[in-house]
Amino acid sequence: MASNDSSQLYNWKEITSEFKNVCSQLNIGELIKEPSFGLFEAMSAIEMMDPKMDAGMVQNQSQSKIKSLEQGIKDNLIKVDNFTQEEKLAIVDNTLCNLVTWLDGSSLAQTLFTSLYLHDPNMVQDQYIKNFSIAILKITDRMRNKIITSATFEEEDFQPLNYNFKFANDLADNVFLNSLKTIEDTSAKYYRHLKGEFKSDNVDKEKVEKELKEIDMAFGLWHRMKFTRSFYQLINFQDEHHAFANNSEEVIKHINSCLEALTKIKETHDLGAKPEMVKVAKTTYPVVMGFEPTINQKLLPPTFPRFIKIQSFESTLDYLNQLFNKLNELLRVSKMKTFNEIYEFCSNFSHVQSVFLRSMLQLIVLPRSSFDKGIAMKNILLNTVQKFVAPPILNAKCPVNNKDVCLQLVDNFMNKCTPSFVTLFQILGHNKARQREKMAHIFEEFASLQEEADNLDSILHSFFVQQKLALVHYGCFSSWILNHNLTLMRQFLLSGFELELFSKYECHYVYWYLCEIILNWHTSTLNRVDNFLLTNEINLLPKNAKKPKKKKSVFEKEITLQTADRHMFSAFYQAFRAFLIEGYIKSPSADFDCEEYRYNHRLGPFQFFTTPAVCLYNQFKDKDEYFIQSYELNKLYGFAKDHFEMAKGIYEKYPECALQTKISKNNFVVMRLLSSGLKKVQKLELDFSEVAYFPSIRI
Amino acid sequence: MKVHITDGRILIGIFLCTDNDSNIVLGSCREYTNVDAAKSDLVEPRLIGLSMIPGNHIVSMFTDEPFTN
Repeated sequence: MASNDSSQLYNWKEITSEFKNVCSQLNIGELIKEPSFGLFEAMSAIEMMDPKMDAGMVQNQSQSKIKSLEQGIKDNLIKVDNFTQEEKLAIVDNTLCNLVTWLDGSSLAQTLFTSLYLHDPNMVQDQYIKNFSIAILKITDRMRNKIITSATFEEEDFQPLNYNFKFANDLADNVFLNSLKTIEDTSAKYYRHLKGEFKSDNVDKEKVEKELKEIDMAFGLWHRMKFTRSFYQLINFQDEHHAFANNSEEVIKHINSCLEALTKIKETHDLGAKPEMVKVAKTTYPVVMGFEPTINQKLLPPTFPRFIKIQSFESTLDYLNQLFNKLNELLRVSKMKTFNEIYEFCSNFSHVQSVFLRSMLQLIVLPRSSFDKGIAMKNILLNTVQKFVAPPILNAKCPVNNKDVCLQLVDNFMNKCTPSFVTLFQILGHNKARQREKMAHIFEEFASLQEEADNLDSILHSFFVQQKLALVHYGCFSSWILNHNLTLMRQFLLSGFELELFSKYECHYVYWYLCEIILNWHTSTLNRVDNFLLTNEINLLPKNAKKPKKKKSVFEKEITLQTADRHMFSAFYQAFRAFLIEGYIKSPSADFDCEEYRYNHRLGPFQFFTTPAVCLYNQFKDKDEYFIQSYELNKLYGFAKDHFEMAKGIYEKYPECALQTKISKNNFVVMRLLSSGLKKVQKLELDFSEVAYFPSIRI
Repeated sequence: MKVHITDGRILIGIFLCTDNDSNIVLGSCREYTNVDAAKSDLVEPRLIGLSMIPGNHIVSMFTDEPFTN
């Protein structure tokens, strides 16, 4: 029986019953297939009628009749004029919720463009909603541009696709700004007009209440437009680097205006129309006039998350408040001159989840063009070296003869450093997990910079020796790079703790490495730089000047805290090692495990460094074996106890180390009990919640 | 091959594989929302690519026979 369709292209023959008959005669697991077909390819096939994979499933479609803005207007299903104030409030608030949901990593199709007004604002008659929609489109476009330019996101952070939607680019920015200001003034006038007309002594109580509500709603709408205008002006700075550095008063003005407007928006939110919670498949969407949650589903690729959760209004407000407060903080960064300060700021900033804020950090510190980036970074690095190690060659009073040649050599070296640091800075803009992954890859670059620095130092020093100058130049630039590399290595291992990557039976060799190799080198590097600075300071003084007394070290606080950290890492190594011996921390079964592979995997990224040379597994094992064989168990606990005590003594002096003080005190007590044999471990608990790399030990 | 499934949609694709529960794998599959959409020239199908249709959701299936003369 053939069924023809109109195009006469096909000639269908029904085979349903025949087919099913034959199929049932197959054995279980037997397949009839094309010769070229394999089940491996079939893994990516979409299973039909499966709600998670099947985009076109009828039950997953929304039941709404509106298929597009035009059709909705034609069928009178959607309003474009004569909105009530409640509706306007609800539309603005819901759009803001969608904006924040998009910034949090969802796609535009499922968030902002579920508002039909954003598809074509020119079809909207009402001026308030029309201009608000255009503003949101332009703001979205700018934010998207900033995020994509700084490129500090991966697919889990942000969806860059714009699905061919238009962002009102045909309307010039300054022209539009005037329209926004006009609407803001109109809203303000309307509010004042209502307030002026209000007669509080009216007998009709209901009417009084209704009028009061209208006044409050007009107030809310005015401030929402104020917020939109300030936000628009803030986002519109094209050159963020210069704007935040040189134009900070204007930036601050807009930020404060937005923050203030947000408080008023919060107060008036409840006056708006309540969104209807519409159930689509397994999720519910807030639906307000003009919003269609599933209108863009067909634009999404089949494997995309089908249904997302739109942020609630409270979390939207929290997000926006945090956004503006953090932007205020970022104003500080544009004043930072050395890489160390910037690095520390970025490390603290990394826990901020917002990919937009991380992008802004990138754009504020370095200019947009890659050429300008290089120049800016080179200046930052020169400042950093100067402040850290004061190379004599960069000092104007340096009496060396061939200064031009030397300065050229230094310039070449800085030119080599700049690209690696620019890459590093970009890495610092990613989320924590990606940072760790990418850092492992640039270690190779920084290891080669170490060699370059060593070369430079030996050449410069040989010039000094030739000319019989008392100044020294060995260990200058190389100490700077070494200090930097050690900081990176330490951060790499500590971030393993923060991301909870290490199993308990791996911690001991990580702690050992931190204590014996990294911190050991770091402290001695800082001490060496101290001596270096002092020597050269004395040598640069004129001949009969008084020699200065030995001053306090520049790095005293850093060295002290590092010593304390080293005691902690040492103590943890000993404690964890003892726990392993006693079996309180279980090792994997020897049949499936090889500690050498695990050690090499965790410390593998350090293999490129020659200073400090990576400590190979057999060297570690020798030291480890020697240690545990030399002492009985309770002595191991005794050493841990001593180290915790010494660490505590140092931390107590610094109020900002309150957490470390508490943890070291707690662990000291536990170790004392264990080493004296007074108490045995009943149940070992390791609490990593306060400081990720210093667990509190409980027995 | 053309397959009608239980929620009224039509899927047209290249038959690749089947098993004893008559689950079918279609390649280069296109989806039409209903019978009229499949017949009309104006409605564009949604391109799905490789798809698997569980046997219990199949209502009917057709193969494209070559025209005779």
